[in-house]
Amino acid sequence: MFEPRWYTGFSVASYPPASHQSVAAIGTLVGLETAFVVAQLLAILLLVGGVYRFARIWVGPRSAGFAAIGMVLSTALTQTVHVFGQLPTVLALALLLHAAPPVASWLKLGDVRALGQSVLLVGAAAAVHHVTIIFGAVFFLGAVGLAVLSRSRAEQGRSGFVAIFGRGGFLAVLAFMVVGLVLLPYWLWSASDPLRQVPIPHGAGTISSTRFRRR
Amino acid sequence: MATTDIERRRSAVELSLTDSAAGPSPGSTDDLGRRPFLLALILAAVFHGGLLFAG
Repeated sequence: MFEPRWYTGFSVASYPPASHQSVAAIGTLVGLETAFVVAQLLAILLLVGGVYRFARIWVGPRSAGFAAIGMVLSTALTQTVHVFGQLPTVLALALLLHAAPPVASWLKLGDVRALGQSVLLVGAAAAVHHVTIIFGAVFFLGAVGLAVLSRSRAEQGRSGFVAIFGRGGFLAVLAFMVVGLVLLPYWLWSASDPLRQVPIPHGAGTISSTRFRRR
Repeated sequence: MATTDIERRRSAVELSLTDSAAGPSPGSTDDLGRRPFLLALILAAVFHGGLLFAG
């Protein structure tokens, strides 16, 4: 669990591992630097699909396509990728957005397969970047949940509202268990060694100077 | 009149949370709708891929 070869050594549990493992896996074929580029590009393409699928919950296919184009051309993505090199953020967001349609299907229709997809995608996103799922659960999945609840109350009255609320609670508990399992090594490390890490300066930290970042 | 406006607004933002909520179905042939999405994929590959590989 301790990698001694880089930066005087560090615990590999000090960050959710999936994006780094992806780079390492691709790196066995093409070398590490090219592997990062390939992984980042794949994450962006996955994000295009994620934005499209998330937008399709709310609008038609044509509008959702334009939403995807807007995301590709956005300065936010360009800055995140090409200035800050935030592979974990992009990949986690992509996975989380892909989780939104199954979450909606589970809440609305009670589709068990959608429940499985939702939990697995949220767990995968957590394995890539823990902070993204905290914000994403509120702003993306939470928004979808509230919209489903609101609509069900208008259409089906109290009974539909209670059923969807119950499904949402079940999904939340299940997702929390999976995320907890995935992030357990990181949390254990974080609890035992919270402040002795040397912050590695990177651009994202300069945006919010009050936010403490450990990497 | 007011009710009609509300209904129109509601239908405009109404969620498509039916069976299609899982996203576009693979068999769908909404070519006009898919064109912007394909353009987004190509743009992402060319623009961001170009920048990444150039960097």
